[in-house]
Amino acid sequence: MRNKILASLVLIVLLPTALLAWLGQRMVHNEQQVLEAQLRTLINSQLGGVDTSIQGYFRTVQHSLLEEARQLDGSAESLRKISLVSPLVKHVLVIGADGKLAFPAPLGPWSQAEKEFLQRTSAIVENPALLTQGAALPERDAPVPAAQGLLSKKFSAAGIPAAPQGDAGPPALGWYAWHWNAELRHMFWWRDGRQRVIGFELAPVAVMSDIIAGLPATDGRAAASRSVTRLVNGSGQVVYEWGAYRPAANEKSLAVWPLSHPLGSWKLEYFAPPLGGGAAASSFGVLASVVVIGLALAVLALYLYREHSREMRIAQQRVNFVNQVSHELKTPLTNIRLYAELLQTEVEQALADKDEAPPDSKAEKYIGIIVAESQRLSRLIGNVLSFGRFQKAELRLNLEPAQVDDVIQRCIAAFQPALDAKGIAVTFDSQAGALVLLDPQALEQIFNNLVGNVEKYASVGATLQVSSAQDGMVTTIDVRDFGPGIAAAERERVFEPFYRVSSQLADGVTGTGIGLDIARRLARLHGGDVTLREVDRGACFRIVLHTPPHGPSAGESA
Amino acid sequence: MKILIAEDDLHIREGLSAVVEAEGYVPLLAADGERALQIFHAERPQVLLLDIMMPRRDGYAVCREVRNVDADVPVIFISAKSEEIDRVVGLELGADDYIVKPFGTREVIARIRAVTRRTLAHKPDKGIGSEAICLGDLELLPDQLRARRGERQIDLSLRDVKILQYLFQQRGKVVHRDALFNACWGRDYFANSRTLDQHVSKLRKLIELDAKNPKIICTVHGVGYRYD
Repeated sequence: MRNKILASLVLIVLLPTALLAWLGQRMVHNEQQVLEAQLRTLINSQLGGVDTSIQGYFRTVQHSLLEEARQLDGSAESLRKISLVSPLVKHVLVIGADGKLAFPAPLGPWSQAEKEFLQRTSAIVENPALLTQGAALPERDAPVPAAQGLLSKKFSAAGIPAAPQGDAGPPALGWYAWHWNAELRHMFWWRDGRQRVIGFELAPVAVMSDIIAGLPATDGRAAASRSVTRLVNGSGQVVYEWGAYRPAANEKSLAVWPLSHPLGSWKLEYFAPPLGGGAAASSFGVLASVVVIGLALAVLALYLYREHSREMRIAQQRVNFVNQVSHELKTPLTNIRLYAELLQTEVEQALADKDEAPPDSKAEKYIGIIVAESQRLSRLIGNVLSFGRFQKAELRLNLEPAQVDDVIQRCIAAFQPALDAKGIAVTFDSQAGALVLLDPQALEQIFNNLVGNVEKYASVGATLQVSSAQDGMVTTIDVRDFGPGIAAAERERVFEPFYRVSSQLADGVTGTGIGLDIARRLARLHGGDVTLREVDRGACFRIVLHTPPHGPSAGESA
Repeated sequence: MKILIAEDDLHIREGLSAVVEAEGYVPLLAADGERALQIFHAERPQVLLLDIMMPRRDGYAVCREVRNVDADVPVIFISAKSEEIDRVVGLELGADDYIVKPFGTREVIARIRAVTRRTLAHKPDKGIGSEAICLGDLELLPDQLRARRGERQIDLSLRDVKILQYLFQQRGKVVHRDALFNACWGRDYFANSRTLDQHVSKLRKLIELDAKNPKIICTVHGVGYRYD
């Protein structure tokens, strides 16, 4: 009983706490994932913005180069002039409509710079198709709003028209990128009206410095201080970086963004300290609240347990008190019974001495009542003590060789005066005279409780029929009255402890409501039962007991 | 036959004494365990009625000591508790029976008679004898404290048996009231003059077919009784 309560209280504390902890853990995990996804989106949009701004730069360059190209008159003089005037353009290459090198003059004379230039571009000169395979700048995406902060005004892509694209035929312009001496070089090419291809080789240093000038400053004021973005070239070298965070040598980047053509081999890498700190903090928060709730529940459970224990203790004290009082009542009650019965004998003899003794002498009647009532009180105390012992599961049988009919005879004799007073006639059909193993006290208590009910409730029937029978190991005793009987609906409930049939008949009759409960429990302890049989009139209780025959002397009297 | 009654409650002690005496036994009374042992050693009663909860020595201790001296003397415990533990301990000590409080006279009488029957069957008493005697159609079985008429069995007290035996021994003669009283109650027994007559009238109700017109115990007016 105590252990069960303890276990259920522990469950009451543990289950919700565990559930809360699990839910909290889930919440933290989900939150972290959402945060990570948000961060990734943010990073990607930032890096994408950087890419767009670089694209913008190339577009600006393309725009101004196209302007320059349109003003060309084709003379070698003007072509040379461009590279002198424009800080961005290092050399100009012209390939005629026939696919042959037109400028610098194929046969020379070449300056030193032109020689080097032709060396650098020898692959293109040999195979001009290589150059015109260099694609145009990709279609511009809509500017990414998050990237705005990163874009310098200079690279603002607004207002620059998209590269003109012929509806049909070979593309009219594009960018070609190649490596020379581990250096990335760019050439903008344009096909003019006369199908000549004019290529502008850009100065790599100028391009690089322009791009870098367009990126946020290294001191990282623009970028979040807890991160760093690196511009990495095709051979994996860091060209430029901004932001205050210094990642470890082997730290993995949070995001990588490959740049678009013509910086196709380059990429942006984003580093930031892991989000673990925040996750740990929110985990700790969840853990703390779970611990607090768990503690609160534990305190509550402890309180309930103490209250319950106190209630149990008080109830136990009450039971003990009732038992104690019942025991204390035994000695005075013994004296009352003993002396009332002695007095009864005296009075009977005194009356017998007077020859014409009135059969209904008052003294005899009064003493009869005292004796009957003291017997009733004895039964009551017996029931209270048995009940207490049942509660503590202490009641056990004391089997001894005895005759069932003997015990019943004795009980009926003890009840005789009380039944006579109520005008109830008793018949006993005794068929259970074998010597068997039984607990006579238990049988007495069962039988007395049934007959006591007859005396209390069924006196109008004026008859009590008792019959006993034995068959092998089983003894059956029927106790039948012809009183008002028990309603069908109450048939099982009458055996419940403290249940009392409510009716005009029972109202005003005192009782504890434990008699039938005890009778049934005792009978069950004795391997049998007490049941209510269906009869046309009155009530018929049947006692069934397991009574093994006693030894070879079965059938003889003790 | 002597019965030791050891019980600390004065009224129960005296009530039991009255019951036992009416049955024809000589009661010896003790209010505690020490006194009970003294009386046992001095008087060697045939039956012991021992209360369990007694001052100075409890019933178990008394029983244990008695068993050291006499393994057979019947012991009936008087107990306020009917708990298992009492019975187990009692049975180990060789108790013959129990009377559980609150008890009535019938219970006490039934148990004492049962113990007496067992004792007499086991160890016949010279004073009572075991020979069956016939009083007309009534057969008296002294050591069973019973009489039989045809199929009917009649339970008798020790005193009833003594009275019938005495009248049988003196059959045909008039038995004087004083002689009958001395033989069945003892010389030192103080009783009022009605005790004998009351007892005889009760006995007649048990054994006579018609108590108003007795055939076995006939009254000899002014002198005593006679059996023919």
